Amino acid sequence: MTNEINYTDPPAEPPPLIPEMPVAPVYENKKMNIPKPMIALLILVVLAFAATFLFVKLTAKPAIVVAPSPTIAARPTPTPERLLSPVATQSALLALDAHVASLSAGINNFILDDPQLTPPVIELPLGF
Amino acid sequence: MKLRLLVLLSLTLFFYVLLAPKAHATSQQAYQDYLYQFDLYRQDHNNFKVAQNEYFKFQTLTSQQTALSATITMMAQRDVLLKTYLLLLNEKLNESTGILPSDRTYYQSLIQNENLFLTNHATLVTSVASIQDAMNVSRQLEDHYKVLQGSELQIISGISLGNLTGLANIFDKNLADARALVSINRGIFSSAKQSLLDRWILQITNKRSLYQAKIDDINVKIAQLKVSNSSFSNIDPTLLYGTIKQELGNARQYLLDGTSFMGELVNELKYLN
Repeated sequence: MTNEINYTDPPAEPPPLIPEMPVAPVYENKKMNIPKPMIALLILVVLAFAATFLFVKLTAKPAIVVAPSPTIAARPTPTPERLLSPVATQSALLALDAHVASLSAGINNFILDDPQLTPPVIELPLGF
Repeated sequence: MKLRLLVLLSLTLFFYVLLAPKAHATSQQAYQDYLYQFDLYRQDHNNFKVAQNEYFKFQTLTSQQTALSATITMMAQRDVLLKTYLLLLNEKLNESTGILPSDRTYYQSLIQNENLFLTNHATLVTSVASIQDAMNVSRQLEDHYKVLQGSELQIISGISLGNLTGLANIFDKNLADARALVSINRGIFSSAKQSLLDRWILQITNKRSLYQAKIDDINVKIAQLKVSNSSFSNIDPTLLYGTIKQELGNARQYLLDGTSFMGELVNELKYLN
């Protein structure tokens, strides 16, 4: 007896819907292809920087340390002593000294524009 | 001999001590009179303006008469004020010690001329009978005012210049005394000190020369003020007077510098080194 499918009978129930499982994306495993000369150049650059740094460090002059010097107190220049002349006590010089002082005061007190002498401001046209 | 000396000294005391303050008191009295007359003029001028405005507003016969009366009073007081001012100038002129006699005579003649004009003008004011008369008489003063103003400014400049010249005369006397002191005591000082004293004398003399040059400029400008009196002149006397004042200030500064140098010279003469 063979199992024969009876195509005339419809199925009793529709087949259940099975959601599709998400499929994880598959990436291609790409390798970094850096050329070997580039790597050599990079290594040389790094070595050059290191060499320069070491050279500068080793040849740098030591910092100059200034030893503190003692402060010297300023000495004022002594004022030369002035000797009085015989003229200093002469009445003529004393009189001249007084006259010069009086003249200086007179010139300082000289009024250039005496307010008492300002002419009166008057209105002239009658305006009729 | 002693009696003569005593009399001479007494007379000197009388003239220089007793009269000098009196002269100063005269100019101060003249100034007080001038201020009083100025106050009266201001009052009369205010009254005149009020009366004039009322006449313009109402145009009645009464307001016209009031305006005419106020105008006459104001015009009379205006003349009195100007005459009082000229009297003040005269007193100040008499007080100024450095003015040359010829200049003083000239300025006094200016004052006399202006006084004469104002006296005649005041006589005309008393005969004013109408507003038209008042305008005609006032116009005479208006036409003459430039001459009056020029004369006033000449006199003021002359007084200031005279006062400064008085100080310069004292300066010259002090300089002569200083030169004599340096010359007499030449042997006392070292050659270096002597040359220092000579340089101070030279500096003082230079300042005096600069002062004199400035005074000469001022005299030229005062002469221009005389010309500005003419009706044909384009010179503005007030502007010219402003320039004269400025030049007087410069001249004063030269004199002050020279006096300061003289003080230094006196100080140097006191010491050997």
